[in-house]
Amino acid sequence: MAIVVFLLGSVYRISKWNSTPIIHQLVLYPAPKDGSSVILQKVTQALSFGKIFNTDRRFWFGAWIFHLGLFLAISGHFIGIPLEGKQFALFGLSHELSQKLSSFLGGMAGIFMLSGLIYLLVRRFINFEIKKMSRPSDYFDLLLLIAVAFTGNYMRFLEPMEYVEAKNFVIGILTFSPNPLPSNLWFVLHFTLAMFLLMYLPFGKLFHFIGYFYTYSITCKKAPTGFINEVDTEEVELSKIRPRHKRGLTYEDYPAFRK
Amino acid sequence: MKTILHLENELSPLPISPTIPEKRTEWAKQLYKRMGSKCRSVVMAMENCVRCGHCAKECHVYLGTKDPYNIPGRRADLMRMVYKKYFTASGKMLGGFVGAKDIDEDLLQNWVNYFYQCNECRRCAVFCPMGIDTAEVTILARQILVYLGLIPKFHMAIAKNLVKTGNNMGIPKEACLDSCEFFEEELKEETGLDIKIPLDTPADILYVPSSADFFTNYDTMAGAAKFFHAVSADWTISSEIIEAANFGLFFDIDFTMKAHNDRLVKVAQKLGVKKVIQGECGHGWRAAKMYTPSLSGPVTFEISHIIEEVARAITGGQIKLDPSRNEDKIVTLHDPCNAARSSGLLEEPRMVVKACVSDFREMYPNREKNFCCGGGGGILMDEMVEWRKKVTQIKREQVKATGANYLCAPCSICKAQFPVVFEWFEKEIPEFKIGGVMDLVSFAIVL
Repeated sequence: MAIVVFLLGSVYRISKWNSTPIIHQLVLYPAPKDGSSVILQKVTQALSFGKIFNTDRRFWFGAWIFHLGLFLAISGHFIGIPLEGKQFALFGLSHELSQKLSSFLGGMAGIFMLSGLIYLLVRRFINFEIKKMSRPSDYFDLLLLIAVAFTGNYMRFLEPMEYVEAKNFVIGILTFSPNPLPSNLWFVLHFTLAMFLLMYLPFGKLFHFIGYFYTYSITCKKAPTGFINEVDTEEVELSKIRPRHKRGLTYEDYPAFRK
Repeated sequence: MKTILHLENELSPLPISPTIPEKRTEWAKQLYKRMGSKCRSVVMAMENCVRCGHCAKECHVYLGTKDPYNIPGRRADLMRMVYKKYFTASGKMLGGFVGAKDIDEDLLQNWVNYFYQCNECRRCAVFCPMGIDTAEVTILARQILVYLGLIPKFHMAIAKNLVKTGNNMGIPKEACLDSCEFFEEELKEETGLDIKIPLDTPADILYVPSSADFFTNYDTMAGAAKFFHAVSADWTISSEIIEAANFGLFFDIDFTMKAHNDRLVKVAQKLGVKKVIQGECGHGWRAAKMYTPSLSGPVTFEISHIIEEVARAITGGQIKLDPSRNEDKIVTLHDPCNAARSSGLLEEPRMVVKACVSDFREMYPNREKNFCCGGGGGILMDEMVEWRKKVTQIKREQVKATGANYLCAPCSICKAQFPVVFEWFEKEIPEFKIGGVMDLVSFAIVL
């Protein structure tokens, strides 16, 4: 049910965005010159958080490490659990080593996530400007994520549970033949919170992982460039200059230029 | 309603009927329902802010005033709370928990106060990790306020002049003719050459100066005339449109801006020009370049900027500039927000200035990361002088750090703003001057 809500919610939100037009040209310069560098710029921004990296390193570190942890954790859930932690065996490692590596990476992801989240929460409390901007839902979003990460970490480090058990439980739900709840209470808590998070995602600001591309697309576009970009800026023989695309009158049409 | 701005009650130049104050909130709600979700740039700004607060220390208005409502994200929140109320499921169900709120008289007052404290410089859009452009929110909010009849006196006076004469200063045709003759005489005295300033003649090029060039920025106009003379261009000025600036961008896109862009297209077609060259005006260049095709298109002529043309002529070797004539000047360049960030005039002014002077110093940060002059968004009102001085603190420090004695700002709003807010500067740095790029060209060009 959570997945259905998530999918419907996402479709609703994205179609809403798609249905509103971009009326005017809103490029921010310096603009990329061709289509591939537009995509490159968007993706590098999304991966590196370059805009905050250059201006606020501490914030960048907190935010980036949280998102990195989140990414690792999600891919771990999708790959590690179905393959029971034996995914690295595909690269030639032994099953045992693979499982160890898997749980090491999972542990790292959990710690990254939790520490990043706690930094973000503290930042929201102590920074005057951000405190002024925050609303209850902002704290709620962070606390929800912290709860999910904390229960996950607790399971990982203090009350371990076999991948198989979780896997069978999820398969049971997906095939509509639910198995009895696992005895591990932390798993039940983690699972419930995660499902709630999934349902909540499309309706709050946490949907920004898709919204980012929509918003950034408005100002990051291939754009008509000015004169300097038209001719190569490095040494050009003066006599050989011709504007690359002639849209109208150029200086060759001026009387002074006619020989 | 008590606001920091002086508001105008007489709205006759715009096709808008003023509201009765008692019904204002009702109208505002209806207007917002109609206009709130019609434009993707605004919708994304409303939906996608994660409130990380990164914009706070990139906004010169917040840094200057320290008013928390001037944090770009929080300023947009003034509209976001209404957006949540009307257009999102979470806002309808959870209300105050996600910060949703309906429009009331207090909120409208905050709208007038704070959306008219935004310079629309788009610096926050450069630094926002999500790429949100708060200037778009400001533009929509001001548009709604215009429909509600809440317009600053200053802007309304300009709208009146635009309707009457086609320029911000209200210069009629006769005065324009006189000025051109005066310019020709002065240029004759200065250079000994017959430099013509053709008015209303069919030509290949229509030059659209800023109307302030006719009074205060004499050298800018002279520079353009000398440049056109040097390349023997077939050019003209039209008395119907001696205004590159388009204040519609600042408060009213629907009527004022569209009317002025239409005027540009109409005059260009009437004179049969192949190319329109915009004079030194930051937001005017943006309005013409970025908005003419979508507002008044299709456009049958090329739109270009005078600085681009000079840069092209320098590269092509058609004009000769002598930097030694500007020997006494240590020049720094201020990138006007709308010209640089929003319409790509980044490298050309540098190239021209470097060709004109021998001592050029970059100011930091520069190019698309430059701070606004504090007059952007048309906030040049007399009642805002103290505010303007506050938000220009950063700019003053920037200029001071370069050690320059000539501040080059190719934008009429910057040129109007700086003399007011840089008062004490002339005492500190002897011979401190403010001017445009074309002024330097005017001094340096060899005819």
